[in-house]
Amino acid sequence: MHKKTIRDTAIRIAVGILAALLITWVAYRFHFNLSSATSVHLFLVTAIALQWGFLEASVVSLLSVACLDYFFTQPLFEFYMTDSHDWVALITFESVALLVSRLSNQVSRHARDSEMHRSHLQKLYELSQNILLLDRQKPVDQQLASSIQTTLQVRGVALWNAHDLHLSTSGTCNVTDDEVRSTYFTEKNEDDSVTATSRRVLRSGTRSIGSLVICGHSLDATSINATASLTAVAIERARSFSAESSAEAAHQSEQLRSAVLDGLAHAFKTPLTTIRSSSSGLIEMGTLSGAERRLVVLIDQHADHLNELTTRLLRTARIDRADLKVKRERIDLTQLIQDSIENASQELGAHSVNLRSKMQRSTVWADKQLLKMALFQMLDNAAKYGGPNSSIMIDVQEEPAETLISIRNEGSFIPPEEREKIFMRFYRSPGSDRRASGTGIGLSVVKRITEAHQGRAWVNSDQLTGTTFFLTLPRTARE
Amino acid sequence: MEQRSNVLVVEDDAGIRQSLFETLNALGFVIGEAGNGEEALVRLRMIDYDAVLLDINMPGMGGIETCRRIHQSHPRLPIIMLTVRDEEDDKVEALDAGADDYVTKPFQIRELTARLRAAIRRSRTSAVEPESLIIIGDVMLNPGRHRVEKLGQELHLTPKEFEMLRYLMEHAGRPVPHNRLLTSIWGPEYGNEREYLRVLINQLRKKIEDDPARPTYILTESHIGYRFREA
Repeated sequence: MHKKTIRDTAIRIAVGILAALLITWVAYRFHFNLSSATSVHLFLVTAIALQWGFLEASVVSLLSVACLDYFFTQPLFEFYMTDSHDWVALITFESVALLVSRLSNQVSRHARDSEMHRSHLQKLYELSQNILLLDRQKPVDQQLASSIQTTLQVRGVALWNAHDLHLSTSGTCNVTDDEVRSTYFTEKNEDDSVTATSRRVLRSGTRSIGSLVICGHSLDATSINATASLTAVAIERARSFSAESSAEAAHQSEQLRSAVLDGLAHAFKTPLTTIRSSSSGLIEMGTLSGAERRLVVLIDQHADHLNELTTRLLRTARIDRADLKVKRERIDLTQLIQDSIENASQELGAHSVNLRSKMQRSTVWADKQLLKMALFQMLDNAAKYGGPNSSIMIDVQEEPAETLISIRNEGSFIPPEEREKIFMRFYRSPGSDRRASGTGIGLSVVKRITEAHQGRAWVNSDQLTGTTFFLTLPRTARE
Repeated sequence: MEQRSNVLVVEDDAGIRQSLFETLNALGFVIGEAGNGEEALVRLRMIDYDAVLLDINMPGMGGIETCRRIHQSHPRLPIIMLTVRDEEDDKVEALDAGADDYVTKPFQIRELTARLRAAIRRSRTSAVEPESLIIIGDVMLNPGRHRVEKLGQELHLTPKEFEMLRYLMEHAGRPVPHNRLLTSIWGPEYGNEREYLRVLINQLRKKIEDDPARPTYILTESHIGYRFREA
């Protein structure tokens, strides 16, 4: 490549020399005087400087001085001047020629530089546009590599994504896969002007996310840096997009699941109604023998139990819907708690429920039905897991920002690592399976309902004082 | 011997229909069946029934529209809706459409027959004369003299309380939706003022119930309204 430049320069100098000789011959032949010949030569030198460069122009200008001296100054046909004016003329000529060459060469180099700069910018702009148009349904890395190769018009591109450890190449690059990867691991940016290869670490913020190698390019380091930044942005964008769409998919499947649950629970209701009306009808007719009657009562009771389970399932399915509507109204919390205790009397059985005597009377702004459901679940839970005939303690406290409801039962220690999990759907703590019947959905309902009210639900438990479930409702949520 | 009541069961599910047919038949009712609202209306034109059991969720015309039409053509025929839990809005709508009562699926036959008998009895005795005494349990209401007594003791009610008690006692045994109570006592523009209703009911309970915390006369139909106990 370097040799070629030297050869080109040599050819240009030779052509310049020939032109100078030709001009000299023509001027001599047509008897130009010194000043005319000087002007013509000056024109030639300027033209060469503009077109080719300073070196070529200065070589030709020296030849011109020699020619002018030989053919146009006294004595003729000798490299010697008698007239001091001729000395001045030739020295001036050479100085002007050199100066003009220098200036014109600078101008043309600037023009070339700015032209190159413009074309780099143009390419980067095109690249950024192409990156915006990448098809996100397909793997982005490969598209990026080919887009960089075609837009920047380079020989080859290799792109390594550290997230999925995938290497994408486009065109031909004389680098091994390991070299591409090592750029990422060594975190070294390099520009090799001999092979016209640049290596860049791709960064998102301070984090390295991959590496990019571009081969056979004519771009400056700044453009390569800009390309690397654009690539990093594109990879990050694609990643966050796919994370977003998988979150959306998860959300949709959750929606679908709750719709299926809803449909299923509804479908159960019809046969359950038939079973229940038949079994209770048989009992009502009073024509059954003792054993027959006992069996039918069993059917009736269990059909009822199945119905209860179905109803709960149906409720959770509804509560899980993304569009759960919270119809807020002003609620006398003390009254609501008393109602809930009354509603849960069957579940509470022999447990006594104590409202703390100094309990503050408080009103909350909440959805009555949902809050009732949450309280019911908490009472049901306390009754199931509290020791037999133990008491349940309910308290309400007005905190500056929220209203805190707590329900405490004796015993049923919950280890710290399980305290989050018990609010998850279908989770039942390992020890609980034998102790209480349940579906493992009750507490997830409590959590969902409190969150729908922008409140929180959590549990504290210790071996001595028992287990306390807390539920908060923000006071700012009131109108 | 008591006359066997003629009941029309309108239900799209054949299993439920058959079960109701067998059990109610055995318990002394004569049962007619219809698989949908349209068929029910045709049957009602041909046969006189004493009551209708009507499923709220049916394909075609739907339970509530069927209820509205039956109530239009047979205003005195008691209609009992078969409903599903957690669909309180539908229940209120059905009551507004002229239903007498509702039973939640899956129901116990004992409860269903009790409601059915009460509804039929009400429709037969019916037509409470505006000025006649109403006596339910220990409570006696004398509309003409604007007087309420419990165990012979006169109770002092405000005019609104009296209006409310009179309305509830005239509809004893039937669930009365909130908005109907509100509009018939306060006027048509008061359909949503539940708070008024709650306060008034509490006052009334303090006066007529033995234990206002455990009412036995004015019963709460959760999310629907109130029901005065059966005579």
